[in-house]
Amino acid sequence: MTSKFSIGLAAKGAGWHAGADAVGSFAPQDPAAWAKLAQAADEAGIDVLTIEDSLAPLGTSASFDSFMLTNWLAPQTTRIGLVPTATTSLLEPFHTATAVATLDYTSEGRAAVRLRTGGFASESAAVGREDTLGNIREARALPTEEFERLIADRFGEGVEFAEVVRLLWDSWEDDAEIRDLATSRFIDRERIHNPEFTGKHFSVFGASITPRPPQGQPPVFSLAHTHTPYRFAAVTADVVLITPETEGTLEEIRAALAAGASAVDRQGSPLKVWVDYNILIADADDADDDAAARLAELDAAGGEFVSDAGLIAGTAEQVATRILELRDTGIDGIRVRPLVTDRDTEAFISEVLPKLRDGGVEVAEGANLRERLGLVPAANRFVATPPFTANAASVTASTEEISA
Amino acid sequence: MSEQHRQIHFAAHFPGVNQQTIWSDPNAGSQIEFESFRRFAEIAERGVMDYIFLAEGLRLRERNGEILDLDVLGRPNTVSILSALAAVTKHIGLVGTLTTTYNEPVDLARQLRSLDVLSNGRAGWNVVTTTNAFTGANFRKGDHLPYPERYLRAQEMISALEQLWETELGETTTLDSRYFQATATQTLPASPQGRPVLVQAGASGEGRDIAARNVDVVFSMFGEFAEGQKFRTDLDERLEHFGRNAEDLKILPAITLAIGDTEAEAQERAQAIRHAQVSGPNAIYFMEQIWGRELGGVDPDGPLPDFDPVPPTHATGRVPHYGDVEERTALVNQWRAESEAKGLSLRDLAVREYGRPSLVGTPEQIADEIIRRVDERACDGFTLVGDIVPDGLAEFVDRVVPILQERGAYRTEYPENATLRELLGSAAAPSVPLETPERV
Repeated sequence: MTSKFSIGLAAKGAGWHAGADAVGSFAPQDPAAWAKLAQAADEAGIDVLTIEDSLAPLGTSASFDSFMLTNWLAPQTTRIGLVPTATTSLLEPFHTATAVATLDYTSEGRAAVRLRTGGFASESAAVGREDTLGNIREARALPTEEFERLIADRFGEGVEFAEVVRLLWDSWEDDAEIRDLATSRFIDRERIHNPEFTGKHFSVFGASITPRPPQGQPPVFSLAHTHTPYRFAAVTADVVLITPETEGTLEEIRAALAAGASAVDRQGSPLKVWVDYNILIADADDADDDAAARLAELDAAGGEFVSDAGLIAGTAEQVATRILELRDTGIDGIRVRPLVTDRDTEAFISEVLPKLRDGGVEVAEGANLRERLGLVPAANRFVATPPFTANAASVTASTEEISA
Repeated sequence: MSEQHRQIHFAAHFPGVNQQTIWSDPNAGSQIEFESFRRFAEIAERGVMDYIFLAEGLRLRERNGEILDLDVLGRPNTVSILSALAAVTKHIGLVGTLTTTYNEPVDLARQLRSLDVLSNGRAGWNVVTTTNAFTGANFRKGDHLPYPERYLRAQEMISALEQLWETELGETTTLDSRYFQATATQTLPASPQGRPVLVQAGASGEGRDIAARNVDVVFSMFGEFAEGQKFRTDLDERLEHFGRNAEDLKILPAITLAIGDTEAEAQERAQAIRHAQVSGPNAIYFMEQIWGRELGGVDPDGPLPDFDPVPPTHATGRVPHYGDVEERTALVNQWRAESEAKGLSLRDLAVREYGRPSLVGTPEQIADEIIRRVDERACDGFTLVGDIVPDGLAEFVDRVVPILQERGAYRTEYPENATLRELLGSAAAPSVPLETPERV
């Protein structure tokens, strides 16, 4: 097992810049475009491909249901991890658990999932629910008390969701299927465990309909910007995506994450920390096509670039140098968000990645995605100690530092 | 090809969670590994069939409060596995059973449209309503609907999905009905077949009306000749009532197969298959549903128990209906007489009673029978249920299909880029508008 520097690619429609639809040539409504993107990233040794997802449109781009898209991509790729997005305030944990488990079967051990606690009012409207929080970054402008109440509800629901999904993955022991001819039993029912979960937001009684997936527990990702989400990640996730520059320095965020992990008493396998960055890669040979000019063109088409994450823009050389600097701080990985899906991904793969390899970022080896991401094997909580434990109740127990 | 035959349609049912699937056979493969699904799909596509059909069950079945361990257990998420299959198949339709009860219309519409676009117009939805609190215990809305309401909700769900599927990328629509209030903007382009094919299995009057009004295929339980014709006639009348052409609704009853080189060999095989399906413990489990009580200690290979059935004392996740205690007692008395006269054991009777309609015979006999039933409108083809995963339909594809093709009753290849609805040769039903809410 290696524990090196992981590289993720985050795909969102035509790109992370709102102008990408107009300026870029990626056609997110065309399945073939996604197959080509995933195969290129797969061949290049990128560790995971994450797919943004929402019941409401992501900008003007088309967006497939990320579980359908990743399952479709699974048989067309061989090594890359596939990461759909589940919004915990909108979906059923039972369906999400079986969908990720199925992806782990169709990809033969390459499934992961990103849990997202909520989104925009338009997404809540799509399931006929009243929006209680809206976008969390906007909600931070609310009076502290109100914000804390709202966030406690949403994250409380998210914690329950994650707990149920993990319980369902473990609800079958790996050897539950016995096919015992002597007793005519297909399974040993003693090796199947109903979660019998009752929470504040929902309850889920029965075991999964899908046997335990090949990885046991597919990796869980969480994008976090502030303290409650840091604690949420420490309780629910294997990998946290953080956003230096927009939410403090890398050192400050890592300190806050450590405080969060300690507040929820996370024991066992530590949270992997990846940074999330937008990238824009300019053509070094074209004097008129520098990063500033490309950004200006995108801004002209889609409005000024606004993001929850920082931007690394420059030539391939500059971008690679910046990523290697980040690697040298000891973080576990980076997820890049191409401002224009096809162009910036192609440039990243053909120009930046070779420089990262030269700089010592090796292609991770391992039998499945967990191993390639440096995660310990996932023992089943019903028979052994799971990879990590934490106190779920403390995610929303105290939020005073949010107002600080 | 002198005779003119009606064209036959086939669906391939992936053998799943029930006693039909023989897991004890040495050739039985995994029920969950993707390779099983890939191979199953290859065989069905080699057989030029219309679609692959997957069932759904959202809670593991139980017996006396314990998980049922005698039959196959475990299956993938329906739409997810179909999406993966879309990537490894080219022509065949992909139809999944998805409940209207534990899904939000916008989410379900988007999943199915995603599958439809990713598969280039090959998606279908088998519409079911889930009515038990047993399954509801796994979902946010743990409650269940009273029986009459399930069809209201099913119709609303179909109408809601059609309304959502009619919007173009970026277009916003509002659902406002008794069960659904939502506003959604379309995130996907249209699929080549406009909207996914609809399949339904309801046999009740309300269920038949839902079918006649909305769907493209009925997955019926009427696999025998006479009952099939009767069902067809009834549906034809309902179709006319809703202003639809009879040819636009296909009826594909579920059927199992036993093929042999001679008729005797086929009969022997059919019997062997049923015995493999109904193990001793499985026979006891089946008979417990007739007796309404536990039959621990009863010998399956011995005579019938000498006590009478009682009102049911245990619930299961299985749904056979054998009537009230008087009806079941009458049935048991009749069996006792037969058992004594013919020396039948409890298991022999279970084997006989468990059996689904089957096509049993030589390849020629089976081909003749299929052609006869389709020509005489007892059905439009079949939903073929193999007994072994994943190769259960291979023999049918390799031995029966060529005969049907030779006789001009079945396509020899897929038309280029055909959608599932084009394979079925049907026009979609006019969409039924979502009704004005009468909120309770």
